[in-house]
This record gives sequence, C-alpha cells and structure tokens, in this order.
Amino acid sequence: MNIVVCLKQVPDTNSKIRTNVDCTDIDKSQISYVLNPYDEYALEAALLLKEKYSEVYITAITVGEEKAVEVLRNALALGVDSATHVVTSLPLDALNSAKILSEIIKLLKVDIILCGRQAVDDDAFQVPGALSLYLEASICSVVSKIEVSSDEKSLQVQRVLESGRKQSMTLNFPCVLSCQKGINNPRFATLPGIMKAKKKEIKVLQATDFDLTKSSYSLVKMKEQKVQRECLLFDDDIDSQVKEILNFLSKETRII
Amino acid sequence: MAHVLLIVNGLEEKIHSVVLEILTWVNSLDREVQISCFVIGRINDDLTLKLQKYGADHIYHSDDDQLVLANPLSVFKTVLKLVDEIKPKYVFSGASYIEKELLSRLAAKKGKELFNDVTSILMSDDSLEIQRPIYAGKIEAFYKGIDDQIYMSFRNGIVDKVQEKNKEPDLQQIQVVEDLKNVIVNEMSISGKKAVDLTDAEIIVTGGRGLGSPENFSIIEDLAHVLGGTVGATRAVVDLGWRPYTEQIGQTGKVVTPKLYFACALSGAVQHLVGMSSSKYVVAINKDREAPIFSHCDLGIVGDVFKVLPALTEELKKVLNKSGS
Repeated sequence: MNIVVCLKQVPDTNSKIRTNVDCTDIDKSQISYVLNPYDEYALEAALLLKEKYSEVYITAITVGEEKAVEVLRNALALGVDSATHVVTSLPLDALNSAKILSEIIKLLKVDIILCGRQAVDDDAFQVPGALSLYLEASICSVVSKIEVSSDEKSLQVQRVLESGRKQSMTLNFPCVLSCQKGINNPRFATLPGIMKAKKKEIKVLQATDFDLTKSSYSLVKMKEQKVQRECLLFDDDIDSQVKEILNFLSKETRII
Repeated sequence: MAHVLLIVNGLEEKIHSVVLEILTWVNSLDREVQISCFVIGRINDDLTLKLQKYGADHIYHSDDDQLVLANPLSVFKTVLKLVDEIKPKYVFSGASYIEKELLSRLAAKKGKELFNDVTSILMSDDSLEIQRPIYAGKIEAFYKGIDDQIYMSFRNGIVDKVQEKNKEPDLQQIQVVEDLKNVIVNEMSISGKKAVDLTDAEIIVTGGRGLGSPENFSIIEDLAHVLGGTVGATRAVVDLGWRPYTEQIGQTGKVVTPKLYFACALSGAVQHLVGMSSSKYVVAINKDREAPIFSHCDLGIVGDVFKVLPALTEELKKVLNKSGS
C-alpha cells in the first residue's frame, strides 16, 4: 500500500493569538509552532498501517514556510519513508493547497491519503474534500476507525456524526480520509529515530512553480475575539450561593 | 432574482436550528430571493411544515436509500446535478461534518469560494462581507468579495429564528444520481440515546477534571436533566476516558452557542474557552478563586461543586415542579 499523509504546521493551541498592528494577519513574533493536532492522528494512522501490513510506503507532504520542515523531520523520525516540502512564503488558501497536494500525489500512484479533520489555524475544513475531488478519489471525513479489507484494495471506515450516529463505509482505493480525534494515540519520536531522521533527504519544491489561482474573495481584516463579561463572584455559604444562581436563572436568563 | 440552494440535514428527522436561522435571514433580505431546499435524509410532515413556515419555495427530496445513508459520493453527484440545473448564486448549509464535506467538494468542482462556520454576513449590492472564526475562534476574520456563486456553511446563532413567511413550497422528488462504484455505506446507526446535539443545545452543563471520577459526573447529569439541558465535557476528562469524545467542547471538540452554559469544576483552559465563549450566559462553579474561567463568566461561584450542584438541583426541582403544576 502506498500512503500519503498531508501535514501542516500551525501555532501551538496553547498560544495566545494576537493580530498584527494593521489587523491584516496574526502577530507571529510570539508564537511557537507545532504539528496540527488532527494531523498527528493522520500520521499515527499511517504508521499503524505500516506496522500491520507488509510493503507499506509512507510519504509525508507539507505545504508551508521554511520552518515547516520541522514537521517533516518529526514524521521521518517516527518512521515515514520519504518527505516532500512545498515551500511557500505566503499562506495559501485551501483550494490552492489542495491543488498543489493533488498534483504531487497524482505522480505517486497512491492508495490512501490521510489528512487531519481540519487545520486549527484557518479551520477551513476544505482540503480533504477538495483533494478527493481533484484526485477523483473516494472520501470520508472525520474518520474514527480504519480497517483494511482482506484483498488490500479497499478500507472499512467508521465515523461518528454530531448526533452520535455511527456511519460505516467501504471505500475503494484511492481514498482520502480526514482523521478525527479518538482514532488512535499518537506516539512520540525516539532519540535514535530523531538522529536517523537528521540524515534523511527531504524533497523541496516551490509553491510558485505550481499553477495557483486567485480567489475572488480576500481577507480584509482580522479582529481579536474578546468577550467581555462582567463577572459577579460569590464565595459565601452554600445556601446563598444556590440562591444567587436561582436568582440569576430567573432574572437574567429567564430560564426558570 | 437571486437563487439560494439550502442543504438541509434531515438525517435526524428534525430540522437543525441553524437551517431555520438561515431561512429567516434570507427572507429578511431586502431583495427578491428564491429558496430551494435539498434534504439529506428523508422528509416527514413535521420537517416540511417547518420549512414551509420559515419560507422555503421548493423542497427537493427523495426516498432513495443513498440519501438516508448519506452516501458521500451519491449525495455529491445528486446535488451537483441540481446546482447545474438551478444555478444558485448562493449554496448554504449548517456547519455539520456531512454538509461541510459536501460543500468542500462542490466548491472545488465549481472552482468557487467556500467559507465554513460563518457567523455573520453582510450583503450590499452583490458583494458580500463574511465573518468567520479562525484559530479556533481566537480571531475573527472578515472577507470581502464578489462572484456569481459562493458556498457557505453557517454556525448556529447568526440570527434569531423567526417564522415570518408562510409559503406553499412545492415538493419535488429528485432523481438520486447513484455512485456506488467506490463508496458504499454499510450502516448508519440510530443515535444511541435521544441526546440533543451539543451544537444545537440551549442549555449545557459541562464538567471538568475537578469532578475527580467518571462516577461523579452524576451530579452534572442530574443538573442537566432537571434543566432539560445536555452534558458537556472538557478535553481533560475525555482524554481520561471519563466521557465520550462527542461531548468534548473546545478547540479540538465542539464549538457551542447555548443560551446558558454551566462550567463546573473546570479551570477554563484557553482551548476550552474558545469552544464556549459564544454562550449567552455563563455560570462557573469552581473552588479555585484564581481559575481563569472566572474571567469568562457572568456569575461565578467560588465553592465546592459536590455541595453546590446537588443543592441547586434540589432547589430547581422544587421551583420547576411548582411552576409546572
């Protein structure tokens, strides 16, 4: 099986995100970067398949700035076989990222493409769907369970919808899956793995060498989310606290 | 006249609040609009009546199993054919997984822009200003542009839903374009309990690690029950295996917009705050006066959840029974 994992470097979810002075982008000076949390699940899913089946080859691809090479080094340390970095100095929208990924993947004859549910920076939830369309591949988003069928030509997958319903599907290769939290427990790289990964070659491409399209919509401004709440704190006895809550529920919220 | 195609998720045999909000908003626009609804799932009288009351002009539906099973490729091909026929200027839906996946493929196919999880939109002449949260809601992003077709999924809470139009929508059976070559849906389970989808819930009671054990969530469940609310959980307790992932609220879980949010025995990590900060009212109960959640609530109780919650639940039972009788 030939597997591609699509990875993206994003600001650490612990980071405070602020806008820059002219509110056109975020202020990147104070931010540390990590692999997108959902992509960790995609990467782990690929590694689990490699452990279980013979002749599995994993390629990790990222589209991102120079420093995004870190997520590829980490992926190599964990055991992916090769890595491609499409370097871009500008953030690309989902359609362009998917376009670039699809053009690389088309050359690789891939069976399974694994992505995270969404990247937690632009939260677009678009790349896996668009990628499946460009590749004419089958698709299942928010997958929480993957099993390979006995002929190794299709997958049995399961996802849980917002309502709690479980949907089970059979997907023929090639297929694009976006991974949901809960599908597995991502592993950490080992020191020998990290040392070995340092020597591995990473293929570098330039985003500008791809045919990019311009969107008819543009980002005009960013604003920091600030919810101002006037908090009333109570730390007296239980009876008065309960009374305060009841009072609040009837007077403010009008729920009772 | 602008044509809106609204994708309606009818898999739960009821209509999500966001669909009615979109209908309310579109009908309130100062222009002539035609609204066609496409239903994923099976329609029933209640569903059609709601769409009628909120002003749908056409309802496209089918009894075909592929729609009830929500086969991604069959639904995609069927809607794509409809898009090619009616050429909508706007394709809208609620922001659930199935619709977002569908829109991502449609928009890519048409080479048009898609905005997911939109929270606000301004229409002037033909240009649009769109607001949506990015960085898990830490930042609001505003986009502007103009095109002959655009795709958008909306979060709950864009407007208050109002039944203002009562149209006589025509019901049209649609021919499903089956595509079973590459994706077969083997099973669509019935949702376990009649739990309210958290993103649709009016009242949510969330518990954090401070509860100490999964068993102790009974005090959360009791309060949720008496208020007719839904139970939520923090990432910490989901990671510990105390509660299912479907209940997780926050950056790698759900973003919720209830009228009332109870934050119990949780500190208020930034990843949690982004999932619940759009709640209308927030009540926090925590024994640590310094907990960050106290800067993000309307009413803060510095106290022991094991004492406050059972006492509150008992009082609520009395009050609600009295008003009910």
